[in-house]
Amino acid sequence: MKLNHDEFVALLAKALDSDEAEASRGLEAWVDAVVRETEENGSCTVTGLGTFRKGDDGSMTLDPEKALSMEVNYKYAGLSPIEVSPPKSVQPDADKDAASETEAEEESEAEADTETEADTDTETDTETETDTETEADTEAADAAFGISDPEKPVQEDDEPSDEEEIPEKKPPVEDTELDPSESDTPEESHSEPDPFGIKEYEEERFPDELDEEKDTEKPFEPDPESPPEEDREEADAEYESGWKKEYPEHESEPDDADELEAAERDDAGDSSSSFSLPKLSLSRQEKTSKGASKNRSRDKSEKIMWLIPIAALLIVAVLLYFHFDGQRLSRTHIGDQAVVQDEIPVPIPEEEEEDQVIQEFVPSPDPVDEVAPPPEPDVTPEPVEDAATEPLDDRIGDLALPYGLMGPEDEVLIGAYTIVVHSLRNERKSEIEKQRLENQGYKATRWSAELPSGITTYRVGIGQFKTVSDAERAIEELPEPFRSNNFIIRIR
Amino acid sequence: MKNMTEKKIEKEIVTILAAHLKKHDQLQINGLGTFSVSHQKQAQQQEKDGRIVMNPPADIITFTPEK
Repeated sequence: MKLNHDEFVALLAKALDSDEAEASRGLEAWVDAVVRETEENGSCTVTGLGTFRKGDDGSMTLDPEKALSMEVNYKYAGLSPIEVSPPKSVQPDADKDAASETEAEEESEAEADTETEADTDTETDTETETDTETEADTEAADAAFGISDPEKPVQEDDEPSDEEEIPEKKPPVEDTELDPSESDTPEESHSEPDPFGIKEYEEERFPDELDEEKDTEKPFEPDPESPPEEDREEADAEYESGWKKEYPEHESEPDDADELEAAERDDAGDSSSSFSLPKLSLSRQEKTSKGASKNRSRDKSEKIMWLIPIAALLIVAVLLYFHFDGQRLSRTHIGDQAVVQDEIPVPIPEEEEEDQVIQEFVPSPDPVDEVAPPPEPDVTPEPVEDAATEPLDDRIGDLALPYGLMGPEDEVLIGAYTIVVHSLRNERKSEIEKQRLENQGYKATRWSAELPSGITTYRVGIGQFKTVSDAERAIEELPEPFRSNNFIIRIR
Repeated sequence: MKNMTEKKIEKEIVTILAAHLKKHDQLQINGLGTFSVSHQKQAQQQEKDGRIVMNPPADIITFTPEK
């Protein structure tokens, strides 16, 4: 609406309860006084209106009074500049802050990982306990089945002595090479705890190996090329003395063997067997030592061959677990951030808020493209390229969060941008306008804002956008009068 | 020193001006100038320190002196 001088005089006359001529004279007198004072003093303050000043070019300017300016600017009162990008000089600090925040996030994630690892360790411990229990059960079962019972090898020794003769054909150097390694293993298995269950494994495997050897080896046949029995006895005696010297802990074995031999002798009741008892006993010792050494070394190598793939499988399983668990945590983390931001009651400073928004919605690129939605055929090539190059988590975030200009208002996103098209002081009218916009398909949001003057204004915004640029692009699609009369605001 | 009549006239003039400016009306007063309200759109502005800020829109009282 435009009021010219005459219309203004008429209004003034009505306000003064006088005629227009008197009002005109009073108005001219007031104008002359203001102009004169401004010319003379350089400025003239009119209460309720502002201060007239004399410009450099001699013209008059007006500095409106703050209260009046606020009243006139009630639609946008209380708005503050939005920082789109941080200052260049402050960027390193911002980066540092971002890095520290990232570190804090990493620490929190590390804590989460630690918790997960703790859980995993607990599970592992549980598994270890289970394994230990299983091993204990296995031992008990073995004991029940006589696997670790010394009678078992003895029963195998009851077989023909072909096994005993085979180690004798091997060069003694091999035995000496094997002896040092073999000498410690039984000691350690008896004295120290066996973390890998080698002892149990050996005890389990050893009889089987013996059985295999027993099945595969041929029955004993006297070797015509074998050395004379006297030489053999001497060699056996030397070997036994050396063996006892190196393995004093095995000195008890011959006793057992002797007992067994005595039992055999009792069973057989044959004098020839009693005559060959020393040789058989010695041969059994050799068999026990050399055959056990051979079998144990083979067991060791087989155990190592078994343990390597098992360890590799375990490592792969752990890596896969942490990989998928990390993905789940990172995706959950995005959702948690949005929720947390919604719950922040204190308004965040613009700079920090922008940093948070940037960090929140610019995740690290994820090469995994399996979850990416297939490109729609109707979409123009450029958006398809954008969708292809857009990070996966970003696309997931877009799908998860109700951004856009159209659609129902499922959730008001704190920190998002909206286009304000109405700023009204009448609450009912603002609700009507909101309903009207929703009927047109817009994602309409209404909220109240208390102005510094104490007046409450009700603003109606349409759309929710992740960035200012998205909101600006949406404004270009708006019809008039919204396209030319709007403003972007961040939802707080 | 303004007398009571001048003060009263001035008060009524300011009241009329403010009321119409709040309605974004344009008022012309001979011998002084034209009062109006102009809309300033929101725009991005680069500060001296390099940061880019988007200033909010505003309705500003504008006075155009009479030549």
